[in-house]
Amino acid sequence: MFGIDRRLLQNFDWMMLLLVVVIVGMGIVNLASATHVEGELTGEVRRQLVSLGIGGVGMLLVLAVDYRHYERFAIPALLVCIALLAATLVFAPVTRGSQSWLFGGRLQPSELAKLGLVIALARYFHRNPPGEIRRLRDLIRPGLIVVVPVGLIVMQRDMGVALLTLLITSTYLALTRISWRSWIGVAFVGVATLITLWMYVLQPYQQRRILDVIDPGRDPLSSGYQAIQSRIAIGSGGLLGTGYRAGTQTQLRFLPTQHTDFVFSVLAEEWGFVGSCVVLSLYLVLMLWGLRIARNSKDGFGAMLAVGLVGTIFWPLVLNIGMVLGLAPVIGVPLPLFSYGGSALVTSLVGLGLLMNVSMRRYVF
Amino acid sequence: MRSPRAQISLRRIGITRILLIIPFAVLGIRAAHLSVEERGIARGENQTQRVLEIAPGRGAVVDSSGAELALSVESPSVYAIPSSIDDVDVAAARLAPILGWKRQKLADRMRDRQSFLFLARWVTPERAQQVLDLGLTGVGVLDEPRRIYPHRQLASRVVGFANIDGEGVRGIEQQEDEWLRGMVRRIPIERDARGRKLWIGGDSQWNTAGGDVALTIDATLQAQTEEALRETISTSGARGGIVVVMDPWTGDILALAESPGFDPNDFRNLDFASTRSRAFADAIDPGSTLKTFLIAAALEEDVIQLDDIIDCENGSFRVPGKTIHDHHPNGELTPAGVLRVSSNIGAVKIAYLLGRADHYRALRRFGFGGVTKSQFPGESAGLLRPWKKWKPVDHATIAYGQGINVTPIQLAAATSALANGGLWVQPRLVSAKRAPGGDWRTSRPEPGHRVIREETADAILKMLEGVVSPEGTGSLAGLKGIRVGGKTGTPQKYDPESKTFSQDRHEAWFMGVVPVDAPKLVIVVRVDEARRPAHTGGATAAPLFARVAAAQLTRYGIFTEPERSQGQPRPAVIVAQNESLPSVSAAPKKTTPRTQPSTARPPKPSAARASKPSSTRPSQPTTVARLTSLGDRVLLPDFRGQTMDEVRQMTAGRIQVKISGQGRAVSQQPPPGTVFALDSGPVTIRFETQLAMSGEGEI
Repeated sequence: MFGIDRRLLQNFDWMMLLLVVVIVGMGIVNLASATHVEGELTGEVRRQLVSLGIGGVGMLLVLAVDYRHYERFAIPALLVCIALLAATLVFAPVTRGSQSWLFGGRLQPSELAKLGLVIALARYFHRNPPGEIRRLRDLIRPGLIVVVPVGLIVMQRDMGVALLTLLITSTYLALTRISWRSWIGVAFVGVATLITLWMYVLQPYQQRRILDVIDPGRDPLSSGYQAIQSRIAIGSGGLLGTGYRAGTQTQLRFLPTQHTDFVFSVLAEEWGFVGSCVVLSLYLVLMLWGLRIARNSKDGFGAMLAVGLVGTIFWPLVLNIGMVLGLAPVIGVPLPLFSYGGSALVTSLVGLGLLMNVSMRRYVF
Repeated sequence: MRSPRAQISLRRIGITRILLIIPFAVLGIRAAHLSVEERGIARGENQTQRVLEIAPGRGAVVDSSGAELALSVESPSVYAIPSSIDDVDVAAARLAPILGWKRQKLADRMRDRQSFLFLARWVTPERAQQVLDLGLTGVGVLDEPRRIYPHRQLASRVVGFANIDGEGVRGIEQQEDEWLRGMVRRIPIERDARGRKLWIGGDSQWNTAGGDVALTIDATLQAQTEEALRETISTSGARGGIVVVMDPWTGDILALAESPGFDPNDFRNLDFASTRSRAFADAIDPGSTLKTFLIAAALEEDVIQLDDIIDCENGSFRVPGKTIHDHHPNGELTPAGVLRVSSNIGAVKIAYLLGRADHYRALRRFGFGGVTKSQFPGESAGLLRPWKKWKPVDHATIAYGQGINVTPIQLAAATSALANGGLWVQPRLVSAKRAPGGDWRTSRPEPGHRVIREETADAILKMLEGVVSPEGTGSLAGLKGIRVGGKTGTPQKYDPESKTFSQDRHEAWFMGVVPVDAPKLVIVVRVDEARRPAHTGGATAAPLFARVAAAQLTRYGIFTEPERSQGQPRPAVIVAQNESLPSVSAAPKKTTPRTQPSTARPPKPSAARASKPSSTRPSQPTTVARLTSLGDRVLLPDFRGQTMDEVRQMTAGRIQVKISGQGRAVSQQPPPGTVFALDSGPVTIRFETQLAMSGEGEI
């Protein structure tokens, strides 16, 4: 099981690793600027480096075992995730309105749940190929897999993560053959649901955040503040940027969450439009590479796993940068591999490890 | 080598790839757009710093009689153009004693790289002259308009205030900002203005001044209302209070008192959030006042009839999820009785008869759950959840006004609809506007829209009169010689922290209409956490209502006073009735309804009332009212219960009287409280000898 075949090393996905190393490296450098203190490494950077170490080890461990073994553990793993989520509801303290951390803030089970869900769904779609799904009702059974963990996250009042998890699982929809007419129906129901949510479920502060996307100027000192400051920072960066550690907006700390959710605006100010484009392109290549791995996978489980893993990076990425650029509401979604945050970094790395796992075993039988 | 088992079609992967690239493209375009667009904004800001914007002379806010509540005067401000100052230290040393600054601080400020800065704003003319006398280059004086509120606290929450840049940020100042503001003066400043004087437009500021605004409020009556409110708050130990006085026919807000007030002249030291008008912005549970609108709706929908009997279950009634209690146990009551004793159980039963949907729609028609479109800034819509979300227990509590939030303005507008025969009229504060140099243009009140039939409104008004009768919860709202209708409310306060209703903290509401036979005023009173004599609407809000009503009625030439004075006597009100005669004590009072203990009430008070109309008479039978005259018009006193001799005495030979029967007066036409022209014919008074009266002594 742990035997390392020489062919595995030959087939190792160096491209993937290079992409990950470059992105994570840029992330650390950028984080050092965002949390900049004269003359020394800040606590955040040091902790992020430790998480990077843990994530790297996790990545290696995940790589060592043939991914096909994970299929067997899909259901128990999902159950463990659900149990952890439930435990959070019981034991975790409420911090900033939501209740999502275990073990004194060291573990965020909702992060793990994303991986657990992807593995479980990969197993399901391996057995029920999405290419054969033509009717909406065929989505009920995979939907049931998704409902429990997402429901638990909703109960933690962590709407951002719940939405994110739903979107990640929705990645598989792109592979199904449901006709566009059905999607129009779904869109109709979806809009109706959104309106109901807006009117009866969303808290006023959540409504305000959504309104702020439409018009950030409507309340410049409170909820629209982050969105406006972020836009000013990006504008102040211009084409080429103000230079590393020279961004006036970021170095003066106009954004309280500039090392977590708004880390991309630091990059955009200091490296300008060019810097943003480079990072966006790197992510895009990473995503396309992930899809390539799915296409080249030798079995359905690997392909499905790869598609889901691409989703786990893609959705938070789009939501986060969209939020920084004022295209999406301010929901606390970090930028994968870039934002400060141990749990997220470790799970992202483990997920990418799985992706490399699928990739390097594409020729091994 | 591709596995034949791959279960994923290449076409699908291709589609996924496209779906994945699109968002990246969008993000890239957006990033490019932002880095160009926000750039431009940043550069634009630099440019505007070359132009100094001076707020123009702001228009005045006046009351309905033209008294100025807010006006602008020119006030000098001292400015500096740092680049033109030869020696900053010398300038600072000479300016510091005049401006009262520390020399060093002033010098630091003048070393600022800005091209223009104010050193002191709104200084006295003497100081300004002293600065000019120094003859310093680069330092000057500029006349800036300054906002003054001569009446200080008066109607402060209605008038609001403008900030230092002449921008209305609260109240009418904000609502009418565009009209009041006028045009901004732009004064160009050269970036290197060395040795040059700042150019100021040669024209008088009034050329760019804003227009004036006249309010519906009368400053004198507003002052009386505020005084009454302040007194009630200090004697009752309440936290605050609101009185809204509205003309039910036009929606004009005649007075709007809120306590505590603030001095808008001092706006720079005020906590901004606490300067909002609570009458518009703060919605709370209306309590039992809402029963009125429930019963109106039920009558309107023909769900109940006026003579229906409702079993009030002797004070305890179980609904799904809650047991409803009455303050005092009641047996069977008519709808009027439910309102009079404010039976929660009766209200809940009527609400259930009416049904959620109709109940909800009626409340919406009365304007609850929506802003009144008064355009007052920060107006709250209150809270009225859609009926589909009402559980039976919610429906029950909404019946007696808990679990729904209304603003005093909403309640006043809804009450107006009862007073004016069923039309909802738009509340308004602004009655006229005047362009600079122009004439006043009066704006017409908007026509109302019908919410209930006239018969329903009249029936409800009669019921409200019962509430103010001696057996009702609002008896302390009574006025001498005037028919008063109203409703009390005492909701528990909702504590947002614990998400429960507080057991010991209450709001006291009273909403009322005077005079009932020809409504002139609708008054809504809200007192927050009153302690003395009691926390209830009947004990605290109703007497305040009576005081305010008495004061406000003088504008219609009606002079009266509260039937039962609370605390100190008031001087301002002209007495319409004489001091009780000494012979009062001689009269055996045991059988008069007035002194009957409320617990000994007959089981069907409404029925008992019907057979003894005189028992509702608002004045004591043994007092003789004197005539209140206003030139050729008089305010008709209440003759009911008086003997013929007394009536003769009261009319003083000035009113022609047509008499029928004998004994004591039981009815009169026109009714008491009417303003009666002396030459308009006789007053018809019917006398009867009654058993109930026989026990009373003759004077």
